[in-house]
Amino acid sequence: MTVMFTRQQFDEACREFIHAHQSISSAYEARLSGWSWKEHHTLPGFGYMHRIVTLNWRHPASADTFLEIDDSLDVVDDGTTASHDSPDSLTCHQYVVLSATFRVPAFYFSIHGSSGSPLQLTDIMQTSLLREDVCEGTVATTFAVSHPAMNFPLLSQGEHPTLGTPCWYFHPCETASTVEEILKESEENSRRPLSWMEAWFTVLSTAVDMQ
Amino acid sequence: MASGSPDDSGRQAALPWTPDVSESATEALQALDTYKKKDPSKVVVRFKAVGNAPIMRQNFYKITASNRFQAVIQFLRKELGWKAGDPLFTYINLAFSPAPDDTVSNLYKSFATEGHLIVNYSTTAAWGLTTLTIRRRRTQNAVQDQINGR
Repeated sequence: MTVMFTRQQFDEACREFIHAHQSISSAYEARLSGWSWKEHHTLPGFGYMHRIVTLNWRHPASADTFLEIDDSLDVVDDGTTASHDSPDSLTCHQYVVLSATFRVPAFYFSIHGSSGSPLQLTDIMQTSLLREDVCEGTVATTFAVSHPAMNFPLLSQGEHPTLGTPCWYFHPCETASTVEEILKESEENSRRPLSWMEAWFTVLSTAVDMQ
Repeated sequence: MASGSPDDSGRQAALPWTPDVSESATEALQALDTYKKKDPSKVVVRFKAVGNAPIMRQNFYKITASNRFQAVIQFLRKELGWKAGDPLFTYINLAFSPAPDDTVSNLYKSFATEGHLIVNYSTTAAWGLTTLTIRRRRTQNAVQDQINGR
């Protein structure tokens, strides 16, 4: 029942997506733009999407949240203001690759300081890439970020399938069913690959600040 | 020498804690008051369940626009009886997941349709299997087995 991409379908879906989101008409549109299609330098069938984003360090949640509906609200402040000795200018390479195992898109990324050295996981958690509410309650080791309630890690370390460089990625085992949920609810009944990609980015936005 | 006489300006000036009642200070205080005043206008939010998320009896709610979206999330958790650790994801128009500190006002202005802001919510963990998911799958499999007459 769930959609699985063939290599060809993935390639087409990505190209369509890149094309559809080239122009930036609003701040919202900017979140989905800036991607380009890349191929392996010699082998066909290993293409992926790529874009570069500049990140900031995340600041702790401000305390001026006020609430009208009944309940008093506990301000979300995970207190992770640990100091970091990494530079301010952060470059994030983002990739959308086809997961060979699950036949769905997977989000890979790596973050570097201005000197070119990759960020440690604990520093990555402090950047503006990941949504604060998703990081809440997670535990980070040097190789993975997990939430105690989850049986799979949120973030794992792995090799980029085409480039072979070390990256962090979101495990795609639940991707298909979550995206299908969105598509089913969506009034637009077309199951075009583009709709699937856009729904996938919607789900991705629960964990990643697409900026 | 006169104590309690109306013209005490000389004595007043000597006191360090006399409040400054100059005009610019008054204006500044007034400006601050206006800024602090929360816009009381309310907007309508419409909740729509996605996938296996529980459906609420009532789906339309009014909320003060100046609230941050975090307030909507907390309210939804309370209405669903969902604890802090349980997965709950919210989307606007199925297009993106808003940040908790986006204001309802901004979201409404940019994305409201037909006079209300659609907030879709899902309880499916997108980023890994939770015990909830495993339990649900077991139940689904059991039901399927029954149907197949096993």
